[in-house]
This record gives sequence, structure tokens and C-alpha cells, in this order.
Amino acid sequence: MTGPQQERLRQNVDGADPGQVTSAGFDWKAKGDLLDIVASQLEFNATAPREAMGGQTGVATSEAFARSGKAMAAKSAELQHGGEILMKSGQAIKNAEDEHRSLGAQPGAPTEPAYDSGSPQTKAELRQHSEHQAAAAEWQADFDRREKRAEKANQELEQALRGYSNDMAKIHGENMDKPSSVQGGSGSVAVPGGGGTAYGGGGGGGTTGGGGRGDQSHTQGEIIEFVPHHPTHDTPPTTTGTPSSGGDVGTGTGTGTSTAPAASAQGSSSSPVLGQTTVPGGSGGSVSASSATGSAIGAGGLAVAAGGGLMAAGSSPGSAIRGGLVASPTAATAGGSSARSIGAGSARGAASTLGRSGSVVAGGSPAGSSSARSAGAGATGRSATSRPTVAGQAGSQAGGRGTGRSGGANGSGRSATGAAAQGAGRGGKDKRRNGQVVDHLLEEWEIDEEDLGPAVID
Amino acid sequence: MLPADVGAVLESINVDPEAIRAILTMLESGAESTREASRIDKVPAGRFGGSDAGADLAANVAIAHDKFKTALDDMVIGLTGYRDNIDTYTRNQLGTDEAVGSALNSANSNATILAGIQSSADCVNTPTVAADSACEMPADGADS
Repeated sequence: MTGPQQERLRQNVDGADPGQVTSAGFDWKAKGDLLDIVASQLEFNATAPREAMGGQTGVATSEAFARSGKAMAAKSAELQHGGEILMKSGQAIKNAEDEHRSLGAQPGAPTEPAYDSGSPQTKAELRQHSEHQAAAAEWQADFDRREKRAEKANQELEQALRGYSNDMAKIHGENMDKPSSVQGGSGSVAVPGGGGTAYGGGGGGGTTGGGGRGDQSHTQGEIIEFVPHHPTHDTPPTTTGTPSSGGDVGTGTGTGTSTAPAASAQGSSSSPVLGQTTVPGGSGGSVSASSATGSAIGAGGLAVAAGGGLMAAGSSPGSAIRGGLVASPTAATAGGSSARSIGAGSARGAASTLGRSGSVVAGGSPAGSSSARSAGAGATGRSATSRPTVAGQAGSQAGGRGTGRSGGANGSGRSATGAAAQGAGRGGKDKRRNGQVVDHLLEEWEIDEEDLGPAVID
Repeated sequence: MLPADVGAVLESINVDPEAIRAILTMLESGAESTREASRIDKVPAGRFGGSDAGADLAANVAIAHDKFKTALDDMVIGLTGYRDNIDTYTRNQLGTDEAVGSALNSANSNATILAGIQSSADCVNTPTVAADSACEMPADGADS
């Protein structure tokens, strides 16, 4: 049998690819270096426009070059730092993998021979029993040693990844733990024995649109209060959203589906004692619900793709479309009349599928609890990530699948962060009060204008 | 405006075509390099393993990736904007079109160029990737 720490280590490296992580780190760093070269060129040649162009324009251009060079250098440093974080992360994962591989499979425990009378009586049986005791003690010692090694590897890995995660969060600056004012929904699952609680993330994404959450309709501006439902463990909680609020632009239509988890909790005593009946699951027995399959599809991508495409089509030359539904009337001085739809493309709008799959075979108390939450559903939002917290080392990982459309949603929305006013990751450019947008959304959602009061429109 | 006057104007603004060409080349090259830099690798979520910390890291990496991508795309737009505006400025100053002859047109043109330079700067000058983008210019060729 495999000890809980070894099993945890197996889980921790399950699906990991340190080579790919490290490779991405090198790529980020190399791209950062490339950017640094551009920044240096710009800074170095900052005075050139003043001399070559002369006049006020030349002076202004030189000043702009100087500032741009500095700004690019700063972001180059961030990109390089991000690359280093990835490289270190890859190394940490590799170390854990190496340790896991080094531990190999736990040898089976020696079994006590069967005695004629049920217990050792004869000299030979007593010798056999003695040998068994020695083998059992050796096995136990080996088991404990392996558990300690695995525990150390787990601690090192988790501590390292937590640190790198924080470092990466500092770079991108998003507060991922900040609860959203309009969350995708919640649900809880009670798993007998496992005590799992899962907050199934609702679908829907985007920043202003809000995620759809099952069976509730809301008008814009209404504060949505979600009532957790409590499905049994047999039925993975599924929330299917219906129209919810949609930020500045009309009413959003959210179709959120949160498939929560299924817990698979198998308790086991942390240190088996030979000679006693050891049953995986210990006194708590084993609790097994359906296996958890984490799969999350961010909804922001869909919303943005729709919004971006819509507005791009309706924009006039010279308009800049920024991230989905943002229509900017800024004149294109660079000769560009093409509409830009950052965030509308698959790259920006694509969901980061961060759901994880696999069940956790738990150690420790089978009555331990696990919680998993999957909130929101932005393209890069936390919604796409199941974040189970294993308490008592029992529980499961839950994946939330959220799909949703949000009227006001823009690109890399992070509904989980409550960044309701941000637009498409291009915060601060919220220019969605556009009649065309409203008209189109109304048409798309097949909602009669008459159904919307003035307060909804504005 | 007489040809002699045009010459005087050009002389007074001291435009150096060769130097400007070098600037334009630098900006084109810089935009291309930045476009290349914007194609940064993504790391699929599961590659960080099955731990909670790994999942958190994966989420943060995904967000950071998108932020970098946006920032780099903006920089490409900004550098291209610099290039286009400087090019337009130069054409206005050295060109032979009728607008050159008008001081009023020239002043208006310069104002537009200045605004364009400023818009371009907005796309490049966000201090960090965490900062909200102020780029309002159309992509015009930036990779998505």
C-alpha cells in the first residue's frame, strides 16, 4: 500500500510537465531580452527626432521616445522575471518528480504466515512468526522513511510553487482572492465521510456582465444574492445560468454551467501498523463518489468574440474597437482605419482551462473536508480554475465548467475578482454606453425593449 | 506661398531626411522585434501538477501571460504609430503636395502629428504590465 504522503506526492506531480514549464520560462526570458534591446535602441536614439525633425514635433517625439524606452525596459524586466519564475517552477516540479520516481512503488507489506492452530505454536511456527515480526518492523521503518521523504518533497514543492505563484501575481497585479460582487454562483456538496464542500463556479465571465447563475433572472443594477443550493454528493451540482446583470450595457445573458465535483475521498491511516487489520480508509472506511474531473471553460472568450465581432462590423473607419464592446471614437492618426478588437480574438478571449482533473486519494481522517471553488468564468479568470483546499487531507478536486455569455463582458474578464468596471482587461476604457451595443444585445438576446425600463437602459 | 518661401520653411524646421529614415528603420525593426516578443509561450494549466499551489500558479501564469501579451501588442501599436506619424510629418514637410504650401495646413498637420505621437506614446508608456492600458489606437497589423 502507498502511504498518504507518497500518494499526495503522486497527485502533486500528476500531469506535471516541468520541461514545458521550464521551456516556457526560457521563452519568456528570451522575449524579455528581445524587448530590452528595442527599449535600449529607443532610449539611445531618443534625441534623434529632436535633431532630425526639429521644431515642437521633434522635441515632443524625443521626449516620447525617452519615456517609451524606459517603460519598455521596465516591462522587459517584468517579462524576464516572469521567465525566471517559470524556470524555477519547472525546477521545483522536476525535483518533486525525481523524488517521486526515486521512491518508486511502495513494496507490499509482509504477510504473516498461516498457522495450523491460528497462532504460532510449534517451534517452526514461532520462528516464522519471529521472522515475520522482523520483516514487518523493517517494512514499517521503510514505510515511515518513505513517508518522511515524500512529505518533505511535498512541502518543498508546495512552498516553492506558492511563492512563485505570489511572485507571478505581483507581476500581473490582479487580486485573485478578491470576491466578486457578482459571483458566478455557489453550491455545496456534502460528501459523506469526505466532508467535501465545493463551491461550484458559475459560468459567465467577463467583467461587467456577470456570470450567469442558475435559475435566476435579474435586471440590471440589481444586487444578486446567490443562495447556495445543496445537492447531494450523488448529483454533481450543476448551475445553469439564465440572464443576469450586464454591467453598463443592458442585461447580460449568462449561461453558466458549473459541474462540481465529485469527491473521491479515500481515507487511510497515516501509518499502518502491521499485525493489525489495516483497511484503506481506516476507521472511516472509504468514501468514494464519482471522480472529479476538472474542466473549466472560461466564458469570457465567447462573450468577447461576440462583442468584438459585432462592434467591429459596425464601426466606422477610424474607430478603435477595444476588447469586445468598447467602441472608441478615437481618430486613427496612424493611418489605420481598421478596427482593432483586442480581446476579441481567440488568443485573448480564449479560456484558460485551468481545471484539473483527478481525484485525490486522501490520507488522514476520512472525515476531513475538502472544499473546492470555482468562481467566475473569465478568460483568464479564476473561474477556470478549480482550487480545492484539502483539509484533513481528504477531498477531491473539483472542476467547474462554466460557459457563459455576458453582455457587458469583455476579454479577459475576471468575474471572480469583482473587477466589474474593467473592460476586457483593458480597464478604464469603459465606453459601452453605446446605443448600437444595446440594440444589438437586445436583438441577440431576444429581449423586447419594452421589457426593459429606462433604468435598465441607462 | 512661393517656392522660395517653402525652402525657407524647410530650412527653418531643419528636417534631416537621412536621419529620419534611420529613425523610421529603427521603429520598424523595433516593432517587428516586439511583435516577435509578443508571441510568448503559454503553459497549459495542468503542467504545474495537481497541487493546489500548482493550480494557483497556473492561474497566475495564465493571467500574467495575457497581460504581457496585451502590453506587447500595445507596444507594437505604439511603435508603429510613432513610425507612421513621423513618416507623415516628414512627407508633410518635404512633400510636394499642395498642403505643404499652406502654413495653416502645416500647423494643423503638426497638431495632428503631435496628437498621434502622444497616442502612440500612450500605447508604449504604461509603466508595468499590471497597469491598465491607455492605448486607444487601432491595431493596424499587430498580431492577435
